[in-house]
Amino acid sequence: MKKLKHLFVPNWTRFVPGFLFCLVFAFLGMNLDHLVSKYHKANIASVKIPALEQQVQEMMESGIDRAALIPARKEIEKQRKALNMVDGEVGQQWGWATFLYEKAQFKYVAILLLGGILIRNTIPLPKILFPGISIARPIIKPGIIILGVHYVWADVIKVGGVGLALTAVFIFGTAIVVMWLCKKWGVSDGLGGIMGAGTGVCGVSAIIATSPVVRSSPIEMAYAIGTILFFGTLMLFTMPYIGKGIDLSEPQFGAWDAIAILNTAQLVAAAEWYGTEARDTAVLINVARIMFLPLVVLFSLWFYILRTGKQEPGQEINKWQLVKDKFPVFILGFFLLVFLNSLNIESLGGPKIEGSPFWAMNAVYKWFFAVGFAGIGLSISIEDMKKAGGKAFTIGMVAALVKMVLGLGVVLLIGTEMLRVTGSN
Amino acid sequence: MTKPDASDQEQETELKHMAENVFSSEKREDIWALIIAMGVLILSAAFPDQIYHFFKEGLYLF
Repeated sequence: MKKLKHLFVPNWTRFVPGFLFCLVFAFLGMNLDHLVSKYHKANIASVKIPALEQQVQEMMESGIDRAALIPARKEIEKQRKALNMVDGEVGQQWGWATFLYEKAQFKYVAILLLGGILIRNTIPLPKILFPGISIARPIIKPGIIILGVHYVWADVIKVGGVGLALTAVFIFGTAIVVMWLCKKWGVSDGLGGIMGAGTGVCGVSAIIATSPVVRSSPIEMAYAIGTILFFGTLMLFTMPYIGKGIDLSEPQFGAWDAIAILNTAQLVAAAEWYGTEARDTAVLINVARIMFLPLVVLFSLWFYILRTGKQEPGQEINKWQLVKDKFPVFILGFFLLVFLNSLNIESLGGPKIEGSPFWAMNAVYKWFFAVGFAGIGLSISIEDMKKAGGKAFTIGMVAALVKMVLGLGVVLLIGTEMLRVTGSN
Repeated sequence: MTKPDASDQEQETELKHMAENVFSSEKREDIWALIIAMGVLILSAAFPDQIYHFFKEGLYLF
């Protein structure tokens, strides 16, 4: 009973207004995305239908077998459906929709993130909304668990294995370099420790997890969180364009994104923006990455306290308890769904088997992501990011940039196939 | 090594308390995420068509 009580925050009603605000915003963003995508598909159909009809005509004249015409006819039917969705006719044009959807990447991710930032920083939102907005971001977590139906164990071993090796090298590489540089440049242990953990693993969670171990002050935490938020936001909006610019494949982008962006919600947003294959790879590598969080906290304990003999007698830290406390338990749900999907249980089906439970679940996750993205957008405040600064900011930014460039080099070397998730195909 | 003064200790306790609060809320988030995802799994097993059409069509007004 006591444990059940722990699930509810005292005074939980204070979260309701802001959370409802995020739900409404996510709902509007998703509907706007749907509207633009509908007209974009109709625009494509309007051009494609005459070409397909001519193709069928030529095939019939050449006396080809009737069965060979079936795929082309099915495609015409599909395109007509897209046209009927907007009550359009062949020849009509909706170029604006194709421009917005394809060229400007005006999808729900961008609508919710950019729209959220715009609202947060231009409209004076009532303070009553802030607590609820802050709890919308973690709604991404049930979405990540549900995404488990997209994978099978073969993916976890192949992509997750590569991801594990990549993240091990990059996480510890970055954490060690940042902590060492901070020590060399005279940055306090408190700030250096959380900066190393923050730039190495998953940003804000790692900073919070490491702060009591390295004894950071609240102001040092504010500096480190400001730096991580600043860098994450910058990367979230630039990486998809860099990826498109250099023609990076979706799985490669997913892996690069999971190495370079520090915050789970931000990296899922950037990958979802880039494409579904990018998202599948990024989520799997991110799961591998966040499993390292307890190990980084242990490393910080050793680097700052045990190695230097700063531990006071009678204040020994229980290392096993530390690892247990910092383990992100939600990923167990993700692995449970991967396991069930790998068993090929007929009654559960798969994400592409119509009428099956996993097919239905596959329709839901995007809505969880939408609420989470609304939460991220609405909580990015320029004022908070201005708190970033000082030597630790320079070290953190340089380390994160180097990790981004090296990460790009590595994913280019690995190639697309090793990083492609095949479970949903 | 210098001994921490009272205000340092107070700040450290406050920070520890804050980190514990935040972390217990992260744990709470994780457990809620598991409960919600399992709820979706149960509902999807019981009413797959209704769930699919509600989230793929019903929620889109325009």
